[in-house]
Amino acid sequence: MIFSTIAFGAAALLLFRGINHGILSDYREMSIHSRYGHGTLFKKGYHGTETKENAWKGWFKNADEILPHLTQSGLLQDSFPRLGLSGLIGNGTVSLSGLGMGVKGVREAAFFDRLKIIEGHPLDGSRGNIFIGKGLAQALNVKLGQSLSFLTTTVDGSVNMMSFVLVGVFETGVKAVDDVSFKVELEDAQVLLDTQAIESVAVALKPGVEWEDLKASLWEKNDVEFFSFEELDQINYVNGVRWLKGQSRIFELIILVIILLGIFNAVTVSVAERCYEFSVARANGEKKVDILRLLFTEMSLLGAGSAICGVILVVMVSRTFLANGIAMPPAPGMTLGSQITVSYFPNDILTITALCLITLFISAVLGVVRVLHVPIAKGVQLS
Amino acid sequence: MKTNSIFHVEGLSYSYRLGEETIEALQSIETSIPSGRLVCLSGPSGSGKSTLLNLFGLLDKPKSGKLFFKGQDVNRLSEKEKEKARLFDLGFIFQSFNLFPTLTAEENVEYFLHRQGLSKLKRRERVDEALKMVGIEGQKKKFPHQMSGGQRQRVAIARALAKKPSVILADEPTASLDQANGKQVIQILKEGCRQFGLSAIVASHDGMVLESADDNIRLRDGKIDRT
Repeated sequence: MIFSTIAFGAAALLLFRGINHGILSDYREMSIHSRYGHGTLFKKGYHGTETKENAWKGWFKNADEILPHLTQSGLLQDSFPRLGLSGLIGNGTVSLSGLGMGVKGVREAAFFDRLKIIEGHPLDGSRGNIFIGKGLAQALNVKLGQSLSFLTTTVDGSVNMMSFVLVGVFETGVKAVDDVSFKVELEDAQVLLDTQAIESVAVALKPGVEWEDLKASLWEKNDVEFFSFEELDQINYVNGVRWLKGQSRIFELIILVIILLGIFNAVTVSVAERCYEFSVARANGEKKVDILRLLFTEMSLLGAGSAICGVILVVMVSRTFLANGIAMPPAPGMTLGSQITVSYFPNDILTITALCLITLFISAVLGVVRVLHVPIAKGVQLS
Repeated sequence: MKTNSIFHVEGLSYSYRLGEETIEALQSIETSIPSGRLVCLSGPSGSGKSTLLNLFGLLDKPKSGKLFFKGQDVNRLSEKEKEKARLFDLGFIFQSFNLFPTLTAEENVEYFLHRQGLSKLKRRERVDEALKMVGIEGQKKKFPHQMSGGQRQRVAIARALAKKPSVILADEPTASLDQANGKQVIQILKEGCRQFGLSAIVASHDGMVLESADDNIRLRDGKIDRT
């Protein structure tokens, strides 16, 4: 009874935490691999008041101003120079405001693999192509191969326009983004804005490299501002994570209380049932301290053994029934669901085992203290 | 006090509360239990047999009067000394056997020998000797639930005998057994008294126990009716 209560209790807690870690990890991956990379570098002053009207004043003059430094750091898997565009996008009959981005299509397609392709394909390096958000495509009622025109102003204020061929439709999962955004090749964006500048560089870090490592390695480059994906994705990622953590803490507390009460109940009942056994032992000269020692040894072995079994159970379940992950519906504010995998960490295993053991010991002590107060003569008659 | 007495009792009384009522379980008991004999405590239910047995077993304290165990006043014994006496000098047999369900017959017998601090070899000798004496050496690997009532009670006797105590205290040891098994249990106890020179005090309703005992103390309403 105690064994199964602890084993299943530890397994339930570990699985709950594992699923939560999986969801949070999926959110993170979604943010990194659909839009922001691990972070983005801007020229210092980009977010200042001076650049509000003349945004290009806060841009890198050209890619060589920043990209060679990033390559030298040796910390990056890849870097993605970008140039933002805003203006009117139209299909010949309807024009809508759009927020575009000039990108290196082939490189971005390789890293930003969480961007869902609804139809067509991403940019492939060919000039004159456009890749647009799902909501924007629906609003413009366009099909693949159709022509779209984009009207904007160059950096010196002249009007400029270019025609593009629609090659694909994407979905980031964030409706507000998918309703207005599109992507074109960086070179096309630079022609439209009549500049060689780039606005920002999104970066993909090598595995194991932290954002702070990159900042530290480029410390001498004091004209650059660093924004991690968390800072850039406050609304969807940071707020989403906060909301999920807050919610899971409440659920975890409820599960924890139920499991700990279950353990407490199982242990105290089991100890009470053994009252006659302890009384027989005491009648034959066993000391109270020996009984406590015996019980502690038993509980330690039982607690550790059952918690280990619980952990093994979770590992087995997550590698068999849940090996392909759990299909989750879209989170609030998102349009894409995801397939999350159970992720558990040594800290969780240690914390949960310790919690089960502490409860086990407290309940054993409370139970045995009550039992040892029963007079021996009465206790031996309880079998 | 008689010098060959294992227990000597002077004006022993014991009472306990049951709700608002005070029950006088024993009143001014005067008696001596001689060494090396099988003594039967008889009497109807509620006469005080089990209470007197618990006092002999140092499981309870007398409310008044004196109880001497091997010449020592038990009122003056510390809890530690009582534990030591229960471990080395007293063996217990209960009506419902009270074996440890998770231990085999031989482990049940060995359990308190380990507590006595005996070496493994010595323990093995004692266990084998006790199980042989009660005639269940072939069942030593069995667990209590795999044995009959008679066999379980014999394991309980073996557990008490293996400690080599001065006294065995048995509370209704034949009550859960049939006539044949009950008879065997009493014969084993008598043999223990003869072979090891120990005393056995048996609280029982059973007429067969009364017939087999060397001495009889009959209790009625907490007083000695006849010795």
